[in-house]
Amino acid sequence: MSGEQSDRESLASARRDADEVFWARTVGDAADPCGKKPLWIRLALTPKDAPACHDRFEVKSTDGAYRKTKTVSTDHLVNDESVDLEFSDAFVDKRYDIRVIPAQGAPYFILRDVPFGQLGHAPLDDEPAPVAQSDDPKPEEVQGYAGPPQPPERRRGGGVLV
Amino acid sequence: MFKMRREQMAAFREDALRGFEDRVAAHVQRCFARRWSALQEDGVRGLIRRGVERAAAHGIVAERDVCLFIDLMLVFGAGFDREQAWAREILEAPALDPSAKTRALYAHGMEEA
Repeated sequence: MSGEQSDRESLASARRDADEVFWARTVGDAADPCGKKPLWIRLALTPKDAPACHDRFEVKSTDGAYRKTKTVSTDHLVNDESVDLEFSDAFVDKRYDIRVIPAQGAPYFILRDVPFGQLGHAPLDDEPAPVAQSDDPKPEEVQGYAGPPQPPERRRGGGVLV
Repeated sequence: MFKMRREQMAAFREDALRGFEDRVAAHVQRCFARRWSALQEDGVRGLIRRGVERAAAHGIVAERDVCLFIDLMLVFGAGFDREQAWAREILEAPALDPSAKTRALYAHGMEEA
């Protein structure tokens, strides 16, 4: 048996094997057969600072079938330089609102009525921008600002990862 | 106390990617025993990770399609998508969707092998 024949046979058997073992789903897609996936929100908080942040994030499907709330201080998952909140078993075929419930101040939405598949790309709702001083740093330059979110800092460039 | 920012998805999908990598590695061991022996597990896993990235660059992201793309990398070389004229022609065909490109690549690869 030549090497060339072996390659062809290998490819033929590999195609049959791939048909049995692999699915049409996207690589890295953790959706289970019931159409649920985890939803992650990454926060620009260091693992060191996260335990002191008692803000909560609520993820709710617009039809009310899914509703979970996570508290940053107790529910965060640690990355090297940031933390995440994980909302497990979100339905991939629903639309979602994401609301922040600050430890101090009024709750506000950062996303409304966004399909699951677009959560990672949807722009965050703008909040009323505080009157900026000329020497204030731009919001995107602030790595973690102190104080309660009232008046809220305009959060730009944010996103939700799915 | 926070701001939100968009990040690469990769960091969040490591577990899912690792599962895919494990299954492709087992697939390579079953179907390409000679190359498995030559590359050893670390080499195969490196090729799989590179294959996921290369396939994605062509819009090929379905598990089965990516696996077949990696199979072709094993047989024709990790850079086959750039080095083989037939592969470039298929991958650049605007009328083909990613799965159709993969099927065409594999069919052509079977003839070339």
